[in-house]
Amino acid sequence: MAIQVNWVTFEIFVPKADTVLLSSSPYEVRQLDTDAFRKSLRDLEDNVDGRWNYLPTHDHNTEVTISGVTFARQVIIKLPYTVTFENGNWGVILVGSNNNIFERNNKNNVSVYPTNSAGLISNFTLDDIWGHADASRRQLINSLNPNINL
Amino acid sequence: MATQYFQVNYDNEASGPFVAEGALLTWDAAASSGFIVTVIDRGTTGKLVVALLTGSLPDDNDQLTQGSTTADADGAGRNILYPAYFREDVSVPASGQMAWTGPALGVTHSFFWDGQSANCTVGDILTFSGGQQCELITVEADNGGDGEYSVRWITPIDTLGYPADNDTFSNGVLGDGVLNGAVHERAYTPLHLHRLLADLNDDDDIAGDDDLSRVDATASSKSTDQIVDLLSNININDTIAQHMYGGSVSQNAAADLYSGLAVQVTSPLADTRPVLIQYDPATGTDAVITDYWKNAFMPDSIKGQIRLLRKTKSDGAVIDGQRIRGGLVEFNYSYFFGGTTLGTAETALALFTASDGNNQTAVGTVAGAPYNTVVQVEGYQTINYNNGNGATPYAYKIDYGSANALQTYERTKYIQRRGTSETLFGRNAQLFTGINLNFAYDNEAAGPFTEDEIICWGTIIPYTGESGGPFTVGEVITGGTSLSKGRIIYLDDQGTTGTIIVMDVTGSFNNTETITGESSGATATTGTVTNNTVGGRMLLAALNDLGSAGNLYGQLISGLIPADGQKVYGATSLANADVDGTPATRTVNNQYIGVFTGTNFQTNFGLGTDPSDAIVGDQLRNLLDVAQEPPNNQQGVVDGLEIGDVVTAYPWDGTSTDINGEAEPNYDEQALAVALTAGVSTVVNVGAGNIPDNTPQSGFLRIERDSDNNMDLVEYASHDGDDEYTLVGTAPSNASISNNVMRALIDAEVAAGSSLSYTAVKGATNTQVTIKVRNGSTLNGPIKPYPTTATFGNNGFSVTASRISDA
Repeated sequence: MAIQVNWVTFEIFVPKADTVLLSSSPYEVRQLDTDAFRKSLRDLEDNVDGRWNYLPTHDHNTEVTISGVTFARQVIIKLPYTVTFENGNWGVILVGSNNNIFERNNKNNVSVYPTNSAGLISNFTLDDIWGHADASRRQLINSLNPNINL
Repeated sequence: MATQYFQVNYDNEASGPFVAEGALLTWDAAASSGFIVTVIDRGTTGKLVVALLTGSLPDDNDQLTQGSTTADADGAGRNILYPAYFREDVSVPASGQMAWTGPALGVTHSFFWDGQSANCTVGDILTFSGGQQCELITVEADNGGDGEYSVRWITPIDTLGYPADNDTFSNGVLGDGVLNGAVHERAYTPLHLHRLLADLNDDDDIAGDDDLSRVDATASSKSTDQIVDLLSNININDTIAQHMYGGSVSQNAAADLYSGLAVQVTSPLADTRPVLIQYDPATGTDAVITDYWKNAFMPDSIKGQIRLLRKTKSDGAVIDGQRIRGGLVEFNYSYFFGGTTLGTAETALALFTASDGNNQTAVGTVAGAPYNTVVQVEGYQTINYNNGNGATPYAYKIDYGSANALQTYERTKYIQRRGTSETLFGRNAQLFTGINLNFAYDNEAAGPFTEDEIICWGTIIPYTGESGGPFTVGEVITGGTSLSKGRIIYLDDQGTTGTIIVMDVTGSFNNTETITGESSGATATTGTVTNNTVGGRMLLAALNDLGSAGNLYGQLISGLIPADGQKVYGATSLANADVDGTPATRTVNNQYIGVFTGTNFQTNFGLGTDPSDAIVGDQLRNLLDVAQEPPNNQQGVVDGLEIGDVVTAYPWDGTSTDINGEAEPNYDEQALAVALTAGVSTVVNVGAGNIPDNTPQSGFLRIERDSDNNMDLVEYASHDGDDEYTLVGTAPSNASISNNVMRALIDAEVAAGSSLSYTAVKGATNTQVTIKVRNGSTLNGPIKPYPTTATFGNNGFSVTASRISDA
């Protein structure tokens, strides 16, 4: 099952299978590449089943390079669309963009971890995420990179 | 002022003889002079025919001097009442069959000249110092500095007259000269003929090639100055008639008649040359008369620019009721056709033309592409202009090819221009004026008729026992008992038997009488004759063959329209049938295709254009005499696209916007009036009167389905403009009454090219549309969605997409 959009209810459905497994123990953690996610949405928008609906699913502002630093893209899920992750006891880390998926998420048992940052840049470094390293996320960060042990 | 000619007898000639067309003759101690046209030399006596140049006519005993030759006038000089060269230009043998011995066809005048510094050449237009103009036809003599020209006079003779002795002329370049003496007429009127014959008829002896003198019977009489009857055995031939104008000449006891025709041309183009069309007995059909008059022949500002004699009666039968048609078909000018009936004296035929603002391209250009890509389809056919009237009958269709409407119009002008070799309905296009006659038929036999053949009707004469034949179409036959005469227009020759149809009949033919062909000499015995006072011929342009009945559409080219019940025959097919009902005549515009407004065609009866070329405003008159107007097909176009782009264009109410402030499709534009059943329903009914204006005749709909309220994309093949769309196949989903229905004016992905469009008949109202261009694929994408709006109005719409990468 791929990502689906209900063009009548404006619900975007993300199956677990469309995310990448990062760790399964002690807690199943998966990752959603939001750049690929938004491209899928664009592709769905011009499908014969969806194009009668004129409301775009999202806005997208691409990466911007300033003084040699590439700032991350932005993916904004637009009203009235919402995002539903396939229900279950798992968590998903949203990578690849600053986005509002967390805000447009239909709450269920899935834990959603946005990685938004005012300074988020495409070349991911420790300093970029240090501000998020509270106790609960420290474990996640460690899991992202075996060379890190916060 | 016409040149004055006189003749004078002389005696006591010394150092003679006098020489015609030589040095000037003088008398009155050289106070008077003249140009000798003819010398009748009888030794020391004789007669001179002289053009008076200066002074007055010689008196009795005046000494006449030409160089060293002298003589005494034997009696006073006397004016002669015809141009002096007439005597030289014809012969009058003892047989009475006069012959032309004068200058070439087309010549109307001649003159001597001198003082030339550079030659003129044949075809030059010579302009005299007094403004008179003529065309050089033949250089009769060129001795260096002097010579003689035969010319065709162009300027009106009654107003500008002739140049005077010693007037200069130029060909507009280097060629020049000085008129030496008088301008001599070399074309003659019937009155001139009568005067010439009378002059010869009172001579005491014959002279030269004229065997007519006072011992012979009276040669001619005149009813008026324009009506001359040749008597006795005297007659002229067609060649002499080509050198005459201004009246009529009958001969052979009035069995033959040459009629005067004065063509009055009104045109801004000085070189306008009328095309004349007349039935030709030699070929048995109407034909364009070979033009020898160009743009002037013995021109007169009042009587006409071109004045001719045409034979209108032969062997005792008139030729096509003595009708003649004239046309002005000069390219770049409006075309005009007119006709008249000739008779005795001179009959005027007025023709008019004006510059054609829609035909200003050079003829050489119109000969090539794209003009020559038009395709003409002749004959009975039906054309559907998709205006709701279905296919209706026509006799002709022109497809623009790669030309546009204006270029197509100019091509039709080209097809019919003067001198064309193009054909329409199997004949030279100059002969076609339009479909002006049609009638139903029944009781067809020996059919079918064939298109482009000539349909004939008249007095029907079956015959047997033919000998000395065959008869020929165009000749006159005479009934041995009835003495009736008629001209053959149809011949079904089955050997010694057959059927003849004659028109222009005098009297009534009898059954079982002998008929004789006046030209062929063939004889036969008539069967049961059907005498009809009405005879005629029609070019069959379109045949609506319904079996033994049907409809014939064509151009009346000879005679009068047939009567209800009259039998008609196909000259080629030999089919025959009865006219069923009163024939209908049609008024057609002079330009065969009809009127072109610069944008639209308003065609003549039965002529149409290809539906793919026809546009709103065209009035295309079919064979039912109903003008068909194509609908206003307009296009909505979105361009600037690339393959993989997806375009949607949906109706918009003009005000509603979505949450993003963009124009929102009018999803509930229509609603189902009848529920749809998946796989079953073939028609979408949206309720009476609810199919909007500007809906493509075939296209797509978005229909809300029951299962999830999404909108299916459904193709329809047609709609009735009211309430029903007929689907291609069946409905894909169940849908309930009141479910939304919306036109998907464009709803497709670009597979090739750079645009998508739809076509619809523009209705009374406009349609606003909301457009979105999207591409979420990796083929030329992704791009950001591009929204825009447009109004489908009188010119449709065209928008260009802005494609911004969304990579």
